[in-house]
Amino acid sequence: MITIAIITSIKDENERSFIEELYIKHNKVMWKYAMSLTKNKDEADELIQISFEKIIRCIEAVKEINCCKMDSYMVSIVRNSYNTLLRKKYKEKENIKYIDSDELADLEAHDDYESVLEKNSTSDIISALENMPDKYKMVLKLKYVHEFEDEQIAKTIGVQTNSVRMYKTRALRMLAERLKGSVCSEK
Amino acid sequence: MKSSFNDEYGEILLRKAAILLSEEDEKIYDKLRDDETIVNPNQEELDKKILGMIKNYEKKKKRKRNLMLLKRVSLKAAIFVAVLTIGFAITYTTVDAFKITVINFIIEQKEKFSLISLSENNNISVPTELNEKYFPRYLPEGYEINSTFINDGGVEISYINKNGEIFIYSYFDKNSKAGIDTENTTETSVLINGLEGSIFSKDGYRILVFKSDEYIFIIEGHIEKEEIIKIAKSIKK
Repeated sequence: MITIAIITSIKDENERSFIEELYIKHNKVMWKYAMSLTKNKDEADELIQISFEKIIRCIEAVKEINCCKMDSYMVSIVRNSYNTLLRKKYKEKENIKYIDSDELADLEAHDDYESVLEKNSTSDIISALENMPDKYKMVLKLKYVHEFEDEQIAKTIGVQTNSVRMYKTRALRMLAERLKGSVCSEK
Repeated sequence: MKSSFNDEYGEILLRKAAILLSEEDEKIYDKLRDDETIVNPNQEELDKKILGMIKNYEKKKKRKRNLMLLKRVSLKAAIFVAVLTIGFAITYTTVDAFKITVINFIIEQKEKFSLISLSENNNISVPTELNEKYFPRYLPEGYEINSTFINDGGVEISYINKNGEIFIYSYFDKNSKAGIDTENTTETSVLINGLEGSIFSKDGYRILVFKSDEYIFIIEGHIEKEEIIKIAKSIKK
C-alpha cells in the first residue's frame, strides 16, 4: 500500500513538473498569440488560464503528444480557448443542434473521396479549409495529428463525446464539397 | 467494398487536412517566438497565477487519492479484524449451535463486504448535500465550492476563486490517519475554538490541522494565516 502511495505521489509530481515545463516553455508564445486574438492584456491572461485548465483536464492525452507537435498544439489550444471565452462572454448559443439518425446517415453518405483526393492539390485543400469552423479544425487536429481519443477531444473542446464524430463527419462533407467546387451552406 | 474503400480515402483526406492545419499552426508559433515586439507587462503576475493553479492541482489530486486510499485501507482492516475475531471464536467454541450462528454471521458479513466493495469501486456516490456534516461557514472573499467528496468517515471540499486559486478543507474520523507533507515547513501552534492545532507553512502554502474528540480537521492552500484561522473557527455542523 505504501508503495502504491509513493508511486502515485511520484506520478503526481511528474505530472505537475510536466505541466510546469509546458508553461515555462510555451507561455510567452501562447500569450503573444492570445494577445493577437483578443487585443487585450487581461483577456490574453485569461486565455492562458483557460488553456492550462484544458491541458490539465486532458493531461493523460497531452503527455502522449509527440514533442515536435507540441508547438502546434499550444497554438490551437489558445485558439480554442479564445472561442470558449467568446462563448462565455457573449453567451453565444452553442451551435450544436440535435442530429437525428436520418441526418447522420445523410452526412455519412459516401462521396467519391478517391477522385476528390486525386483531383486536388495541397493548396486546394488549404483554401477549402479556410472557412471551416474552428471547432471542426480542432477536432481534425486533435484526432489525426495528436491522436486524442474522442472522449479527450470532447473534454478539450467542451462538447459531448458523440458530437466529436458528428463534427468529423461534417468536416469531411464540407471539405469534399468545397474541393468539388460546390458551395457549402453550412456555417 | 466501395463504402469501406471510400471510408479509407475520407480518412486520408481528413488526415491530410489535419496535417496542413498543424503545419499552419507551427508557422504561427515560429513567427511569434521570434517576435520580440509583443511582451506581457504582467508576466510575473501571470506566472504566479498559473504556476499556483498547477501546484494546487497536484495538491488537490493528492488529497483526493489519499482519501480514497484511506477509505480502502480502513475497510480492509475492518474486514481483517472481523474475520480474525470470528475465527478465534469458532476455534475456541465447541457448542454446535453457536458454531452455526457464527458461520452464518461470517457469510452475512462477507455478503455485506462484497456489497460495500462494489459500491466503493463502481458506484461512488458523491452527494452534494452537506447536511449533518461539519464545514466552514466563513470563506475568504470570492471563493465558492468547486467540488465535494463526502463519505461516512469525513468530507473533502475544494473551494476555488475566479483566479483559479484553490484551498481544500477536509475532516476525517479521529481513528483515521492522514498523511501531511510537512517537509521543510515551519510549525506554529494555534487554538481553534479551544482545540489545539498547528499550522505548517512553506512559501505561502499553509496547512492547518486540529483535532476534536471525534475528528481531525485539515485546511490547506495559499491562504494568509489570519484567514485560515478564521475559516477554521467558523467550522460548524
